[in-house]
Amino acid sequence: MADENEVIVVGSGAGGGMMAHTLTDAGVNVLLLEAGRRYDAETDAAMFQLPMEAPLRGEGTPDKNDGYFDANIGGYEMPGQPYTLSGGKFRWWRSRQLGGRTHHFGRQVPRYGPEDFKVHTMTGREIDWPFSYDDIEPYYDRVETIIGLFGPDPDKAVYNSPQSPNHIRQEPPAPRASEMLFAKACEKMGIKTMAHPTAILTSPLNGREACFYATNCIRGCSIGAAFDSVTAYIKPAEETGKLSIITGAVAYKVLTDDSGKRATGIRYIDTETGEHREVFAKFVVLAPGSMESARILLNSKSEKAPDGLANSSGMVGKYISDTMFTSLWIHIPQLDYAPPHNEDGVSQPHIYAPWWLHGEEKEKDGADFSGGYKLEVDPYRGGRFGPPSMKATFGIMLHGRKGLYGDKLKDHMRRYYGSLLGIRTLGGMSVNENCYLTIDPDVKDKWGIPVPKFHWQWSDEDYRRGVHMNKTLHELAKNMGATVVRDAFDESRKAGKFVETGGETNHEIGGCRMGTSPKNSVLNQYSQTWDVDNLYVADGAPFVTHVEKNPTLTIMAMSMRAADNIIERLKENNL
Amino acid sequence: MSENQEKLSPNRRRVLQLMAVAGASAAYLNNYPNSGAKAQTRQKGYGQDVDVNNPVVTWDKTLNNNQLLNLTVIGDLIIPTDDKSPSASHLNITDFVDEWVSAPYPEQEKDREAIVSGLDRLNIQANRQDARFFHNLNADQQAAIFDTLAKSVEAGSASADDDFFFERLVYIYVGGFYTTDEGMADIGYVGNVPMESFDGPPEEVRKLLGV
Ligand SMILES: Cc1cc2nc3c(=O)[nH]c(=O)nc-3n(C[C@H](O)[C@H](O)[C@H](O)COP(=O)(O)OP(=O)(O)OC[C@H]3O[C@@H](n4cnc5c(N)ncnc54)[C@H](O)[C@@H]3O)c2cc1C
Ligand code: SF4
Repeated sequence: MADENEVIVVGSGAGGGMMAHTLTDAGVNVLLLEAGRRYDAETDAAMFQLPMEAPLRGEGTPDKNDGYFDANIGGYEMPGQPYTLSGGKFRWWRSRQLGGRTHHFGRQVPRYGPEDFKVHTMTGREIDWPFSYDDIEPYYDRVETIIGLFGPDPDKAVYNSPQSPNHIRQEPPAPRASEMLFAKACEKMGIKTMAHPTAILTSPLNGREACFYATNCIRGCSIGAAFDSVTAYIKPAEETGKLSIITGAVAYKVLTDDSGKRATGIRYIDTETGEHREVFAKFVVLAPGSMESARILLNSKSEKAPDGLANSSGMVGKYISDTMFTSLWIHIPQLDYAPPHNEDGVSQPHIYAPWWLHGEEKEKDGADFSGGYKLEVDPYRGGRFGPPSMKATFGIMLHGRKGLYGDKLKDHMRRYYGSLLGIRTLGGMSVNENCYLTIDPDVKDKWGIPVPKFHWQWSDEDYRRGVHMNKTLHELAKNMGATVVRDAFDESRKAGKFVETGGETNHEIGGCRMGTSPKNSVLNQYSQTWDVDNLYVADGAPFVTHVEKNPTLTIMAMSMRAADNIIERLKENNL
Repeated sequence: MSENQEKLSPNRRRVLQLMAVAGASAAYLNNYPNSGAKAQTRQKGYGQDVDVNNPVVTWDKTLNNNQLLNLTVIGDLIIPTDDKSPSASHLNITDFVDEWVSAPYPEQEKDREAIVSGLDRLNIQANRQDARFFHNLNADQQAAIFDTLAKSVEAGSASADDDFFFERLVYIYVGGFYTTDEGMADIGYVGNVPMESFDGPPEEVRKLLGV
């Protein structure tokens, strides 16, 4: 059977799922290796369960970081699967299940803008991507058509934040009360707001139902309204009869022929038996999540590749990055004791303010950093009549309220539940050489595979961006008529963390960046390694720069582009 | 757990220190042989791959009877009955507090230590009024002691231990209570119901906000 495989894909999340889907759709035989177990939101998701039904009211623990019902198997710490640090602070979020992190991710799918692919040209810093917006645009269209999304009127898009065209996007839900106030305040500040492009259906698509505005997408969506890799990619791929899946398969080495220039297959651990196995194919695609891709390549050492496979540039593991994130919790006095109303919506932000300062305006403002940040109302934290949870809702309501109990406490809860909310900002990061991973020479995981060792350092430019983000949030609060209850940026700084710990926004990308030259990059523009002709990387590892837009749509668009390249090569070779 | 280990437990040590400070009688330890018990018991967490459709608490509840009785009194001081919702004890929130402080996770283990030792300190105060446990005091005495504690926390004059004890107690009771049907109805959570469309806030709310 193994011999029939034309392509081995490692990992079934955003990047791997898309790869398997595109290849099998074109009739290519694919073997998918997935470290975790089978997972299907249709049966595995807990949608309507209330906190009351879970241990500890469903609060996060070291076992389930984002709560008992979160559709994630893994988290920052996994028993027997450690990682280490060589400097700075970094936390590595992992999801080990079919579909990877797509079952619980926020479904925010903004497109990168034209400027985002040429940061070097714009600022003289970092490097440009080897392709332009025009090259990737058709792939954005195609990915969006498959995953389905709601988004704003594309004609109202602002500079460098392009939006999905009308024939693809679906109508967004109305903004919530707090978001209307947010929009009004932004308008006063000269900042445009619009629906946030989000991979949630508001109308049925390909047998998937429309959202019913009631449950939290991070628990998974069993009606298929929220995109996940299993629903949109893997199940249809299985229907083609071209996809084989091995779950419980932890890949750790790319096998090559004697020349070291051709990948022949993958060696993996069967997690059930602990046995080491090998599978072979014409092409190998790594998509186990950015950090794991770099780890596998660095662990794939051989005589021909003493520093790790596809690493002649020495760039594997380098230039990793994460989104900057900070928030304020604010109090809206007009909403004290407000009449209860349903604020669930799609459980994600309905609207946002894309980055608004460019060119001269940016210079005039003194915003001295590359890229920018976006603003939104935090759907998870604060009260705002959202789903009650201990830390995220009540922890904020009780913050700083010392000695409160009895009748006064009960009154306090009624007054503030609807009138406290979070406003947040996600910012780009200036990719720098002090953020990287290497392989720990001593520490191994429970199967004996050497683990990654991370080094993290925010740059001065990030610091300036962070200060600016925080300042804007305060202005926004003021324009919303709100007082600030808590300031996450301030708290982080007091805790010596600057913005937050690297990796904690869970948008860690890079480690195998693409470029125009084998000297300063690992991959070419089709995500193909410069050194090993038939080896591709299709998760977040190829990213060159890190902007304020969440990365996953771009991961999937690049994965599809890489898949097209493989399909073309298979055809050309008449294989 | 052997006698020896128990004596070495941090709670025990802290109680002894406190007693030295408070000048309480050495008979205290004989009166409260279980106050720190099981704090060190390793229990099992639920692991990373839970069956979300059949949630189970995988650890035993560990508070003793007197601790539970004390907490029941305190729970109703924190969340009393009024015309909109019942008190904490009506909804058995103390049982949830027991589940919480018995859980084998760091946050909860820290809370356990704070709460068990905080209850011990309240017992010491009860001793001064010739009651064996806080819950043996009459309602006025209980309310007075608790109010004094709350006022000192509010004024910032409470010890760090008392401050944390009070903060966490309130947090866990509030968390337990306002996630019940009655608690959610009290504050006005009306979601978790499927809808055809999401049309935004009602007119009256928009008016409040001027949007
Ligand atoms: C709470 C949260 C919210 C998020 N919200 C958003 C958002 O709104 N928008 C956005 O764009 N991004 C968001 N993200 C990030 C998003 O989840 C990732 O960018 C995306 O899933 C990455 O895709 P991937 O294919 O690289 O990896 P993953 O989706 O993580 O998939 C990797 C897969 O590979 C498997 N695997 C790992 N190692 C091996 C191995 N050695 N062998 C075999 N298989 C392996 C894993 O089990 C997993 O299934 C969020 C993340 C989190 C945690
Ligand atoms: S909010 Fe909508 S899309 Fe999200 S899980 Fe619920 S039904 Fe699915």
